[in-house]
Amino acid sequence: MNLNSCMLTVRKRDGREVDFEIGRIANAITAAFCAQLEIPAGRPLPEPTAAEIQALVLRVREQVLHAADENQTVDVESIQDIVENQLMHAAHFNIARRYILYRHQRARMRALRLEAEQGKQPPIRIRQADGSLVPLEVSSLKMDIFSACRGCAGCDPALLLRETLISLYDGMTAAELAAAAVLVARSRIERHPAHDQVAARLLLAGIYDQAFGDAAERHRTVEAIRTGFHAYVRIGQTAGLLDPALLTFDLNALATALMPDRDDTLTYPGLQTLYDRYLLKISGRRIETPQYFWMRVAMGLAIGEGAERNSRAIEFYEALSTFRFISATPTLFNSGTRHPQLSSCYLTTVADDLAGIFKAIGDNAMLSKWAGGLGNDWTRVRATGAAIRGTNGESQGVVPFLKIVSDTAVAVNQGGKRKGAACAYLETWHLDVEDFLDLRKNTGDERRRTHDLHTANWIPDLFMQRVAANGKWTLFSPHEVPDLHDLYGKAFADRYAEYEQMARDGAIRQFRTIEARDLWRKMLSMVFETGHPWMTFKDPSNIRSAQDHAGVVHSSNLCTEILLNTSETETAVCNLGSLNLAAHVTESGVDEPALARTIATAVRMLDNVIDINFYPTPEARDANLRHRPVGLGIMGFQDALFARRIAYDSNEAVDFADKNMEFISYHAILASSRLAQERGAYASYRGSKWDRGLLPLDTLELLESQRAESIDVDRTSTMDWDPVRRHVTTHGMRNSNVMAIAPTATISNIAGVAQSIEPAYRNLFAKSNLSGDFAWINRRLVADLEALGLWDDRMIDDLKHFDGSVQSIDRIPESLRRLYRTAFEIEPRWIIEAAARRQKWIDMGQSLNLYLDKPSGRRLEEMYFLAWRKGLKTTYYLRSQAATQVEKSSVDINAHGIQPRWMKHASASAEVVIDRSAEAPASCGLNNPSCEACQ
Amino acid sequence: MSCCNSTPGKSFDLSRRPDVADKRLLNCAAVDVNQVWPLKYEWAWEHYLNGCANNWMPTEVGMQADIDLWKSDRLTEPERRVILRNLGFFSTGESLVGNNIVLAIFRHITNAEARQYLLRQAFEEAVHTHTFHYICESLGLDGRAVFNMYHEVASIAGKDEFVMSLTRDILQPDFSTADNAGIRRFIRNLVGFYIIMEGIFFYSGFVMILSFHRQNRMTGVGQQFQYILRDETIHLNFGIDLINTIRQENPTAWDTDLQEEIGRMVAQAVEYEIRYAQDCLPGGVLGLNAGLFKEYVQFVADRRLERIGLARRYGSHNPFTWMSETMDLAKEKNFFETRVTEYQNAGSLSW
Repeated sequence: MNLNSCMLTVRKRDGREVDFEIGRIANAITAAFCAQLEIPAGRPLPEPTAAEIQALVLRVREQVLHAADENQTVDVESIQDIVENQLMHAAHFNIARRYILYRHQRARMRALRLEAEQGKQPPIRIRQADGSLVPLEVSSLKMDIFSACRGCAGCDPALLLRETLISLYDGMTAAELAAAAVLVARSRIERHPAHDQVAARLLLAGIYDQAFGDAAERHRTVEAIRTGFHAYVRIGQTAGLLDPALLTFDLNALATALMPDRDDTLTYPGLQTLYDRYLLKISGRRIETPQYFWMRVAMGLAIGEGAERNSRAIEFYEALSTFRFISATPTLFNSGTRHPQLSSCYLTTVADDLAGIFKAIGDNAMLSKWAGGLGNDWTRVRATGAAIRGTNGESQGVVPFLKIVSDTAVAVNQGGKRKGAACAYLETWHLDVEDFLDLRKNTGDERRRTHDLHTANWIPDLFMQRVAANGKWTLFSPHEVPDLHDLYGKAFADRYAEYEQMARDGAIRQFRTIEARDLWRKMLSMVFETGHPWMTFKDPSNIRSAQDHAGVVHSSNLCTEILLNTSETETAVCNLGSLNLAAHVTESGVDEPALARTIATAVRMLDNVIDINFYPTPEARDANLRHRPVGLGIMGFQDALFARRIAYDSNEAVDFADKNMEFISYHAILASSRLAQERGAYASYRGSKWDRGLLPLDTLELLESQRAESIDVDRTSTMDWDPVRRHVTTHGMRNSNVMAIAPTATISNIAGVAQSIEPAYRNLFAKSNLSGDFAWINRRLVADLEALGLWDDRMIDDLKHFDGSVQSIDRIPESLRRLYRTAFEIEPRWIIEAAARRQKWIDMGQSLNLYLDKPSGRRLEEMYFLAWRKGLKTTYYLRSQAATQVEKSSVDINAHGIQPRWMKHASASAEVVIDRSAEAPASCGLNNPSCEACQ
Repeated sequence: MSCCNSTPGKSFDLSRRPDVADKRLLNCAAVDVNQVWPLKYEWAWEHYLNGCANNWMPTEVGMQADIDLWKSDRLTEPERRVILRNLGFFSTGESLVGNNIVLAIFRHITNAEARQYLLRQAFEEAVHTHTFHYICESLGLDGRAVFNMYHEVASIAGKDEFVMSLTRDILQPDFSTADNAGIRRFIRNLVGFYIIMEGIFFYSGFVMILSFHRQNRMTGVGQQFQYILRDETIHLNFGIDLINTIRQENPTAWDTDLQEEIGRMVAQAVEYEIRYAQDCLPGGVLGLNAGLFKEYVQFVADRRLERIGLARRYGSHNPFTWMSETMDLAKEKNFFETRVTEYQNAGSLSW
């Protein structure tokens, strides 16, 4: 074949034109291969390599022909680009690297000559660890960026390189250089989601560099990553990070089970989060890759599985690394390490004496140190003005102590990985409740403010009924009404009325009677202004509790999904993890067999935590070993709806929430009961609701009768529950509690799905957390708009202008606008209705965030009353929107009008006409669909 | 009563109730400045309500992470310089704006609802000054050095002197808005403070500080700046509405000479700002170098010119594409990890 049989002209850099000779390209590529394979020049190449080169040369030739202009001329830079691309395309990354290096050296020689002529600034130099400066290797940077862009349509690697180069400065460190490319890629995620993968790959390359050092290049193969696993476990163990028991696993078998390709499935925010806080490190250097990390967590959870531990570790690894189920953050932090504190949540009740109060604060510190979140019940502590026996003085109430709790949360910051976090609960009749409502205000006496403490109202049904009836409400100090906090349902209502009578009769010293509605309005005002205190409901939480035979639920936890008994001898503990619905759903529906398998694995992992766990206090250990509660939750609910193309605010979504939760509940309860068959029932099982044959669905009637009001929730069941009931009756339950829907703020980021059961916050927004602000764009929306040819610069601009809402973008078809409504565009009743249906099946609660677009007192009241009437146990944050926003820097704001979008009243600015006709257009964009200069 | 009106010797016809049509921003002769009702400039009242709904205090923001970072060796000298220079500029810059409102602008605005907003804005300037005091205290900085930079650091002194001369102009004993010459001087002051000081001079500082925030460093300071930026957006929009309404009410004052003069002022301000960026970033830090600021400042200046009906001068683009992620996108905050800025004061709740 005559490779030169084409009449092309090559334009060289100096403008000269010469004939195109494909032989020169063949020589260059051959030279690069020889150098890589260390074959001396002139020696024959192995047959497969020669064939490969031949094929490459042919493809280059074809591309060059394609690239030539109408005069059959092509410039030399284009040819070199083509060679590079073909090498990359054929995955000859090292060869490409050599080729780029060679090209770069030549380019630098030319540039240096130019600079010498023009007296330009010196190039960027990189500061090494020893302080010396070496010139920036643009070729290597280019290689990293081009390699990260492989297969990503919608990304322009040359543009990313240019933007990275302009962000550099002379004297920067290598670490900053690595960060620079990531920063550039992530800043373009909003323009196309493919940049997310580019940013993730750039970051991943950095993680490999850390984990494998100079050998990183070689370690990018699957085999090498598997081989490196042994070394990782040994290094981690020697450094005192990993539990020595990990060495007892069959590391060969586990290494073979590793799926290194899954490192590429992490989104950028997910990987950055792992990098910042989860991957173990030794003096700043990550020793784990993401797959090592998942396997370490899996091994930690399988440590007690005896002879089965290897196969169980692999089973757990499969669930974790495919994001089908992800354990809660403390488990991810600590599993497999020397300090396996794996629980998410602790609930305590604070005693009414100084020793008890400071013991509770000390316990908070210990529990917080190992990454647990705290719920503290403060209702028993006497109110302001109550007598103190020992000193004959008067109490200052709960507020000064809560200030200390708040400061403790700051002081103990979970080893820098996460801020300490606690929530204080107070029942609505406590005499200090009005001060309690103010704790999060940003005005007033700072000594009575707790900016770092979360707060929640623990509301009895009777209070809601008094508000509805415009009745009175009496506040007491708990030391004068000592049994009130432990009572619920009708017994509470009766006793409360007796205490009110005693107050009227002068038999109680401290009390105050107010309009129930006044207090209610203040509660609503504060939740609106500060997001606190949250609204949680005491009676449904207790009446529907499975463990009503073994104590009282005095509060919920930090995230309002856990509802467990507490006492002076028992600190409730809950281990959490969440199923990722998105990983089990396709357009045609839920993959039920797969979901059932994941649930069985998940419940086993959660149950294992209880025996492995390191307990910071004896009260926590005792309670957890007796009752063994676990909290299986869900995340990616919104993704599942999108996959099935169901709008969140629709009856179909509510039905899906209902049936899906029924399925999960069915298999979760069954899984726990099967574990009971295998390992025995939990110690306090006798007398529990499970033992009495009551499943969560059966307890709605109990609530109705105690409340003496009907609960308007559809009671339909679509599965045959008899097998589950029989199994529980025969074998009991392994866990006192099984389900709770946690917020999944961080693990949903790792999995790259929407949080928990939340609707999409916006279609374009920034997720803000300890690792920073991450742009998040709805990939499904982008894909739909691309399919319609609507994804262009103007669409991006509009989406930003409307803060991620598609409702005002007329170009988008109505059906898509309907599907892609976001949290503030959905009536809260839909979120509440879906939650009420789920609550039929859940034995604990849900972290239920509520959103209100245009809040008014009346709408707030309706929303919270609806939640209560539907039998919900708790609600979580009220999310509202700021009155105004920051001026947008990357949107052509003037083109959208001089007055900001939120202004309701026109000013003279509305009449200012933007006239750009006199400006010279940068280039006329007849072929540019986003240019409207002459339309 | 007319005792607080700026028009000396003017007495009002107290026998009749005010007519909304008689209200004017300058030189109002028919309605005294104590009568908010009935509203004429509803936009001014709306800015006021929005400002109230956004109420915040610097003490809400925890500074522990910033303190740890500042006391560590993880900030380079050039990075510290950028941060300190900006603290130096803003710490007194906010006061200059507040003083100009109270001493220069307020006196001559003869309308109650516009004054209502000015009072709100003046308070917010005080909160911002408080913020820089709080930051200095938290980080253990030498507050005397920071608050004196506007005398000691040439690039800051240049900018501040530029606007302070505009305050002094209005404080001349002979100043009045009675004729077009006076109105033009007054507009120059408004342009100097709203368009230039708050609209251009503040913005490179915002970029520099938020650039740290974007890398998840100095996040407490970053969060304070995000609050400030939200306030500044309203300040700027109010200022633009004020200027545009004064233009509308006094069309003969807005002549070509004034427009050209404003163009020159903005061009000069752009030069000052570019010099300031060069001074803050002699060698550059990651993601920021002085060269990019030229384009950025021009881009911002173009925006401002257009909003008061003038043509763009530069045609530059924003080179900092990352600002979108840090500033433009609505944030969904993780409540346990960052402070949520999206709440409104309960006073804005209607029952």
